[in-house]
Amino acid sequence: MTSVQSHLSASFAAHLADAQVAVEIETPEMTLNIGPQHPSTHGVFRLIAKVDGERVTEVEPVLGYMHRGYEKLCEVRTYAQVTALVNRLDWLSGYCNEIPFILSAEKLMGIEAPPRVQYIRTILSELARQATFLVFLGSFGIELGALTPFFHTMRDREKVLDLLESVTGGRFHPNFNRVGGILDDLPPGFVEECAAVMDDVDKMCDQVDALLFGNDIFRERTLGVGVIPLDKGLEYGVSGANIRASGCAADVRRDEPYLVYDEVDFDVVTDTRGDAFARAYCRLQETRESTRIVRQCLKALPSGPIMAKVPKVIQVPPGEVYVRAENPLGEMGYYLVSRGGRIPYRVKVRTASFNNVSVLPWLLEGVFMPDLIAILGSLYFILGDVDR
Amino acid sequence: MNWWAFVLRLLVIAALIPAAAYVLGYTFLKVLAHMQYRLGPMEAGRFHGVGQLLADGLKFLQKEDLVPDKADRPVFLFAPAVVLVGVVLVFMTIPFGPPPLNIVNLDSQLFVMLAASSLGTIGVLMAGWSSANKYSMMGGFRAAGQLLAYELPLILAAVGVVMQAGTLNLDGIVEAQSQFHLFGTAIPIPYVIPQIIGFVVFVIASQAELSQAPFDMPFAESELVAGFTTEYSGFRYLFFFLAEFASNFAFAAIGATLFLGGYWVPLVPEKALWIVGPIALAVKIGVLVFIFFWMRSTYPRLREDQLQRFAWKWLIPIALVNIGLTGVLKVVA
Amino acid sequence: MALAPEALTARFRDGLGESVVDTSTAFGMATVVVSARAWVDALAFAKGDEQLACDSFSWLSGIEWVDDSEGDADADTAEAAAATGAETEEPEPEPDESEYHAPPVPAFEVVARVASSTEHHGVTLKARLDPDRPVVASAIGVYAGADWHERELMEMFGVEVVGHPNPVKLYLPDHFEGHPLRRSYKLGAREIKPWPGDVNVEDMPEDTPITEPKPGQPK
Repeated sequence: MTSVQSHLSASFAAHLADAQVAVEIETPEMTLNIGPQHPSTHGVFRLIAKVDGERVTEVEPVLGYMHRGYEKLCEVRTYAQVTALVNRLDWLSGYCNEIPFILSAEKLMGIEAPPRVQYIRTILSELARQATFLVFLGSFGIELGALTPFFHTMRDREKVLDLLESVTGGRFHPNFNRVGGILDDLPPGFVEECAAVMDDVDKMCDQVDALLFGNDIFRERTLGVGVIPLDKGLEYGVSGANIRASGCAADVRRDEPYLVYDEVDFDVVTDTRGDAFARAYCRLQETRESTRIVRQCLKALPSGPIMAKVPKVIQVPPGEVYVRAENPLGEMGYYLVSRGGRIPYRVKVRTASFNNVSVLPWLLEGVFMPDLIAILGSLYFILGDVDR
Repeated sequence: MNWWAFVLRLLVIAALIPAAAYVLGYTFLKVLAHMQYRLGPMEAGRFHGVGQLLADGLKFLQKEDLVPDKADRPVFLFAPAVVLVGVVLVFMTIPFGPPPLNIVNLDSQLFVMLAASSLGTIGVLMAGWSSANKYSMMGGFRAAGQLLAYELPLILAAVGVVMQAGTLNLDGIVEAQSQFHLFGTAIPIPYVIPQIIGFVVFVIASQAELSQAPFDMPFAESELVAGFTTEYSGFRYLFFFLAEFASNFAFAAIGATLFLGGYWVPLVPEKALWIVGPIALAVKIGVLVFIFFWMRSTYPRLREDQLQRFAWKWLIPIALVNIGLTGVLKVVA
Repeated sequence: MALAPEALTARFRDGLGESVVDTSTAFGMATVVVSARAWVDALAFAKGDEQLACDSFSWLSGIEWVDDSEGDADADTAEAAAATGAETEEPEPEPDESEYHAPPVPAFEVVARVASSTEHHGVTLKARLDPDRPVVASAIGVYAGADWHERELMEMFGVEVVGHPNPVKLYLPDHFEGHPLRRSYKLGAREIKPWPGDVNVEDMPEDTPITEPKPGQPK
């Protein structure tokens, strides 16, 4: 009798537990295909996400929709032609992409560009950085549903792009660097104009700081979301503001000064939180540092030639070198292998976004669907930079 | 009531909905544009792009009415109509002026009004489910969850007004406001002063009911493409578009009636309200709509769980406290 | 405290002993070539050693060295190949570390760059593989970030990465045949038509400074 009772109660309990479990987990997993065309993937990026309700359980990024095979194309182009190509890697800051390539070629050839060139290169790199970060500050708002900041940052970005255009003739793809120098000198009146625009950019930064970063909803959406621990980030090679937000003071401009970064005074902005907010905030602060650098460069701009003595036909002696630079998206570098001649033997392009994105499958596990967008936005990658 | 008078009023409403949606849609484009350092539409219609929405509407009508293969066809086709009907019902209950400028005059008019305003939820859920699209479905469910959560604070905020006025009839509420003297002020004041807590809760909850930023989770274009409207095209999309701005108007009208005195204007003789009343209501609606659009263009979007938490942990308790306070004051006064 | 390239290579020689095949500090870049078998050990050493402390993984890729006088549709490379050929014909009498020397062709090198976030130095690690059938062990166990780089290495060079948990193509479609970054994989467009931009670049006598230094504007 008692045994029957206990048996019955046990089976009841089991059924109850079953029913409970069935009620609890009766949300079938759904595979959600985000992209390749999706409003917040910055190009043709595809994520295959398994979602349980609003929670993402697994994510698989699919790359290659924009793979253009630049490393192969570099092997059949002369050095001057490669710079036109690499402009299109991270298309928002095309100018910055040229710098490490040109520097690597110059390093192998043993040429050093004249000081005026170095200064102009630094100024233009920083302008490109500001243009990129202004897009970020606006588009990150859009990803979180705030439309208005985007238009305001785009307005000031336009001023920065106008400056770039006045010097290089191109807004996105300047192709302005040559081995040993630059194509042309600064146009008259550039210094005054540039200083005025820097004031505008600073003002914009203050506004974004107050309106977006001071907004409670924005903080609620980003604080503590998508935390990248420092060791994990380093292991994946995450760089730029993404890793500095995790507390690592790594900045190529400071660690391995190129151009004239050792002559200007700037702070490496770091944060310890490692979340989406910290990443975005680091970028905001870096925009301010960037205007600081430009102002110093404008003040110290030397006169002089804009081209070193180089042979007409650029022939790079045999050698291998890895030159990296701190691009807006993070560390970008070229591993240049030359066996002599006018054409590089092998160019390995190390782009920041590729490594930054590779942390996604690990990072996106178990986040909410809206957080997924916030995290994607805060990592800030450009598809041309991921796929190459 | 004569049947022809009723039909006439219905026709007026039928004309008023697109007209209101048009005016509000245009205002929205312009307000948003100027807040975003743009000009907005400038070409169509010669004067500052006033014809833009007409052009857009014509464009929508010309577009193909696409239905996805896997869609639940009848439900998919019917959903926009349900959403629009909900808005029409709300319009029916708005008192545009002193009787007989109101369409219906019911004892439980506010009750009908609020009930009708949540009818759209069903249409949204239908649209989200029947589209056979995962984004639509998530959008539909988000909308349903959100509208349920924010229905409560909306009604609770209105309850304070009802208690103070002592009637559910909207004309009665307007009349009560025209006779309300807080601490014996010389000029009667609208309920927005004594019911300020209720007003704030009402505005926030309406914003959520309208699925506008910071509560635009159901659309969330950066996540869900276009939410439950993703698969709609042509005139069915136009229905959603119309309904969006018409319900903006409707909620502003409810708010204006409950808290801002509706068609009543202080110090204006009762006879003049026949003409001044509708204009005053339009102005008050305009003010509220501007607040809606202002919020919409300023704030980022909340996350779904934060949105629910905000409704249940903040808005509803605050609304309940407001009811308690109103009760106490009512008894004391 | 950042270590100089010479100190870095010395550290690797000390730590890995016989596994280090070659080192170089040419152009200020510390390069350590290890034997294929010691590849993962070398990476683990770079990461674990407290002086090196290379906690940051930068990239991983490959270089295929072939004797390609016909590799490029360009006459200059013949000269270059001859230059490297001449260099490699020497029987490697302890090459000077500070001078650059290319590996003997044909060769296949897998290259990885790791850096230290605390010490601010970086090192390029290489391993020479069998050029006909390159096989290398996966470094995911040491640096999780090597995952995608190794997938790219597999599809682009046809390298077999042993122990990779997910050896599928990263960029290319699944049905893609061939390994595009191999020298033997000809760029289709160039086969059909030589690069039109090439005609602009005339061969000029070397060391003729055509570009006179332009006078800079005084601000």
